[in-house]
Amino acid sequence: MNILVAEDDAVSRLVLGATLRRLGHQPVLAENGREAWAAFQKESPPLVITDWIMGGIDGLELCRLIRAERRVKYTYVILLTVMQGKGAYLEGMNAGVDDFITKPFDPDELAARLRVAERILGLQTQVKQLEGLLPICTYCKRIRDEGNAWSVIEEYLARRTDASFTHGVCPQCFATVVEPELERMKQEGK
Amino acid sequence: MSDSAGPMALDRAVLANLLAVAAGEDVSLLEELVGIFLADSTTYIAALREAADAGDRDRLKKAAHTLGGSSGTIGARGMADVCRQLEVLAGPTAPGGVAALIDRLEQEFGRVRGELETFLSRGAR
Repeated sequence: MNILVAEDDAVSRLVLGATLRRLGHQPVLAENGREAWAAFQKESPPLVITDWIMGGIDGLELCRLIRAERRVKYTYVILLTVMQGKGAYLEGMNAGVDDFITKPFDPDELAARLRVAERILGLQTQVKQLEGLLPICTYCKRIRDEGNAWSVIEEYLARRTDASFTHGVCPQCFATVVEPELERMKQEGK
Repeated sequence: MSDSAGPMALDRAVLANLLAVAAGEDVSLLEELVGIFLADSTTYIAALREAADAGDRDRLKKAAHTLGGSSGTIGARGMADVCRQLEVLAGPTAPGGVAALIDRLEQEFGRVRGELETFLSRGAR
């Protein structure tokens, strides 16, 4: 995964970059918030790991800038911080941070948090696919899935979401289908 | 009693992690890392003294924060602790005592430098 790292301390940046490469990722390293923001606009990475306190654009400001972009593809932001406590946590969350890693970071904890990030980014992609264009039959309204099989919409959604269906009749169909049918039955019964 | 007779200035578990990370790199990451750390620490300690002399709390706080970060990353816990104390002292209600802390930081840095040089010459090669 492409990961943008914003860290103004050269030692931490070097170690973080090497650790990410060792975990199989492709880090892009930025020396400050401004450089990171430029790299973000150029590379559009799915994940950003940023230090909190940096000169110029700090970690929270970088996160706010990313959130203000309102990109279709979600960007997962992890804040590196030595700050602890409720105040720092809430400030980070309010800026749009997804997760925190305490400095100095533990490589195993970093690996675990990256797995969580990948899982959440994967779910985001699935949701976007559900929100996106679905091939639907003009006549019977069946939906074609990724295996080219056609399913009725209830089955399609039930397999992919927690949604379940209760069947009812909307006012329009009640007026155009149910009422004429009731009328017809009444006429036949006479 | 000399400083070297006390507890180790570097956290061995952190160094082991750095060795493991460096093993996967093409370049000699550890040598590069130690080189940057030693040079940056010298620069930041000088910046701390200048900021303390000038009464520049913002600069003092920023330098202490950055040096604290790199010290923690390389396993120099004693240096990281002193930097944290400097960050607190550099806050709006600074009661003083900054100069004594910078002296302690410099002393601790001397121990760290010695251990890093030994680590590079023996352990990391």
